Amino acid sequence: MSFPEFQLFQRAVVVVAGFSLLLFLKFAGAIDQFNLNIGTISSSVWRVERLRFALDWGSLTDAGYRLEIGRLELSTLKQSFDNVKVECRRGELNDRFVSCHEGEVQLSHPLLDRDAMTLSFELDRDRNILTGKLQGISIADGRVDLNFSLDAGNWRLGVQGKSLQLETLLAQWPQGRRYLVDWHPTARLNLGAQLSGRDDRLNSVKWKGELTGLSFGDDLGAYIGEGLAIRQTGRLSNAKKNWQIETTLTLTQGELLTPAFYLDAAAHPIELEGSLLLGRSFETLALRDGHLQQQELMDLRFEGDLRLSADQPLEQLKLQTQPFQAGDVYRELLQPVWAGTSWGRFEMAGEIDLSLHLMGQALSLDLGLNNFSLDDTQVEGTPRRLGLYDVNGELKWNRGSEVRSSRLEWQAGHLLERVDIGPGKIDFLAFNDTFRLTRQIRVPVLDGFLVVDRLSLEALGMPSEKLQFDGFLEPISMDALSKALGWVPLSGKLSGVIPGLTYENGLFTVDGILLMRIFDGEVQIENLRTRDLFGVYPQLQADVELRDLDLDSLTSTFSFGKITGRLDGYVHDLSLENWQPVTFDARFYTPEDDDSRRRISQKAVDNISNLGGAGLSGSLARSFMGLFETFRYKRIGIGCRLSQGVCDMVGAGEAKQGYYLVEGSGIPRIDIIGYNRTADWPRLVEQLKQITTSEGPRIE
Amino acid sequence: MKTLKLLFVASLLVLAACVTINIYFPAAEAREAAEKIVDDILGDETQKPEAGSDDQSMDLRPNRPVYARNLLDLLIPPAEAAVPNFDVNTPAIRKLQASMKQRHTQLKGFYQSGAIGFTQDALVGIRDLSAVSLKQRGQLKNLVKAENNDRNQLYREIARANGHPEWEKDVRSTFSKTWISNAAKGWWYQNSQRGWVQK
Repeated sequence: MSFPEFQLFQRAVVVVAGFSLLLFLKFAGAIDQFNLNIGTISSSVWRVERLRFALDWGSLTDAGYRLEIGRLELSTLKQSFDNVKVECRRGELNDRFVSCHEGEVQLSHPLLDRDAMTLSFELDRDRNILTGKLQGISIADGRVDLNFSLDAGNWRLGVQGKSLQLETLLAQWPQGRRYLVDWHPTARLNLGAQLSGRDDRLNSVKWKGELTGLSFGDDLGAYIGEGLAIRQTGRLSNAKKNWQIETTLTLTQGELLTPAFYLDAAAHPIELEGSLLLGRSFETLALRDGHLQQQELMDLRFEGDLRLSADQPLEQLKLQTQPFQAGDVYRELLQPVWAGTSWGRFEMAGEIDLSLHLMGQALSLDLGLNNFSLDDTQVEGTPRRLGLYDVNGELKWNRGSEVRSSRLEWQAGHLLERVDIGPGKIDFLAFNDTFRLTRQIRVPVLDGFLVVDRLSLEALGMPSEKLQFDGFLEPISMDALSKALGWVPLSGKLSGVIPGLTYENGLFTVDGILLMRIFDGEVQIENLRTRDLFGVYPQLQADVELRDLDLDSLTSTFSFGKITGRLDGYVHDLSLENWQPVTFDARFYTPEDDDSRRRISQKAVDNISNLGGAGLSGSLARSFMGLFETFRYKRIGIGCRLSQGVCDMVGAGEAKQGYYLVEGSGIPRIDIIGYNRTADWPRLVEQLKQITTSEGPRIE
Repeated sequence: MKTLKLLFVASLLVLAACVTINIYFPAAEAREAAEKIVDDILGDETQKPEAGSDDQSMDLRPNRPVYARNLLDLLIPPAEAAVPNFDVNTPAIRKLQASMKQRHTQLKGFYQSGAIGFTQDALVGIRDLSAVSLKQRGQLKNLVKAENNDRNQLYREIARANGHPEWEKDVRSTFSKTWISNAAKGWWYQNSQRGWVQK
């Protein structure tokens, strides 16, 4: 019963009792029966129609009386009470007492399951005390008992509700607070409350409520509760300036899913306590000493101030957690909400403590990390992206207040599957939607270093997200890199300047040139662009220039068959999808000014002739040539323009029919001539794989 | 003379009308392409449709009446009515396909439990949330949202790649039938009345 309803009830009791008393005093002893009929009486909150009062004296101390009301309307209830009957079978009416020791109230209302309830009361006129009980109110499939007392303006009301059906009660909820009803809650409610006050002033309320089997869900399925058990106790007292509410809440059963977190209350029960100060004018609400504990997961304290009528009610909030196990909190609270997105497949370990402070528009968030580790969960078919281990430090983020610097240090990590990152530290600013490096960082990557001069992120988390990066690679050995990427082991070094790497609209663009020093020559990668680099389907475009590679080390690396000499080349318009070439225009050839010793082995001859699909033919030629181990050549060359899975082939130059793959010189002279102008790319790759993995020469 | 003129104009009109229908949606090619994509995404679970044995078996005849097509064949030489090569080989399509294929490993269990199924508009619909624990519902909703996002993009991109954005509806309808006909036994799909049916 709300406060205004109680006032109404209190007044009604006084009116009925006073009226009875008046009549008694006036007519006592003169008559045995009294009847009174009234058409309508009303106030701003109630209205009574067709009131009939009948009094029947047996003796002065044992009276029976009956009150009938055709209709009773209360402004706080949607439905009126019809045919209200109050019948006292055994009462007392004398100059001191008006009482009923055995009474029954009959009234029908949609909220009531049964019309009848029992009533007893006693009014002591000398001491000006009224006490009474209204019991057995069958409501919402449960039962409510009321007891009340009024002592010279001081009043008290006790309410006991047992096993009430929440959905039935909420159906009577006033319009305008329908959101509670629209979540279709079902539960059983046990409630005990004691209200006390003086005249029309409420002084204190103590209550204890228990909801069991609480289930609800909104239409979008964003907020769902199943089988929740909630116990709440509270005490409201009327202080000078405000209402003070001390409250505790425990959640011990059931599950809760919201867009921000998931709770399994049975596995991790929740206890919440705190006090609230509600301003007299219902304008302000202060939260004090808030303390939330979730067993084995979280312990946080908070306080705040709200201005209830404002558009943004929260004026101030302070929140501080004890250090918590990041892995447990992520797995139990957050992962169920994020699973199925790219945020949903991490593994975490270590401790985090968090504090948040909101003051007006200014917001700051501090995260302390203690041996924190983050890694991708190993999921079949899902590439790993990033891992960082043993991260320590503080991340301080601000919005609309003074920017503070943050520092994090880590011991190890990885990029993609196996590119190892060594220990490093990073100093940065994080504010609004911006992240900015404040000091150069030098991160060990494999056996080299990635040096970052500039790293800034803007519009984080928005469609216009933008990353800018300037840095360079201090040489990484190709041996380590090729192993890490699962390639054939390569020798040489990778280094390069990466000025102006930007990320925008899902696209990484590198303005600078990556330089690889491999096979005693240079490989330059320009116009590098990648999309979805860490996603399921990485795409990459680049132009590659090769200069002065040493064929001897190249061919020995790929066990292609020994060739000596130098090699130039290019791969223009290279486009890779999921690391497989889709298009390119590539050519590799002997440099014009090459003055090195140019020899080609039998194995290489054989392999190239296989690739070209023609050239040396017939076992006779082969067996004759088999007498020589190597052959001199003037130039070699091969080119492929790949499109739609088909290679348009070219060689070192045009021959009479076909094109030279190897143009020999001297004696014995060997020419390898390709005739096929087109080649099936997948087959070509298959052949190359076979060649580079086969053992020993195949010339017979 | 007047009659002749009228006849001439009428025949021009007929021809003009025929020319506009010339580039009809290449249903058979689209179905073949859809089969390949759906097969790749669903992997081992796919059920090869038996022609005519299933109420969901494909009928990809164009929507216009058959006699109209026959008439067309008479009026327009076959070369002019040639079906354009149905292209589903663009980086965007390949990417969507890879992303859906990867997601399928996570969706598979939900198809089997009957929590979700294939809808008439070629998307994934939630059929029975009670088949999924509350803890898993967030994952299911995220997966379904991402999957439907990819599927919508796929149909749009296929239509766009073929130079006919207005084909999106036809592409969707083709895929709707293909998803359903390739669904594994025990999975659920929506029939033409949008009621859920178990395969």
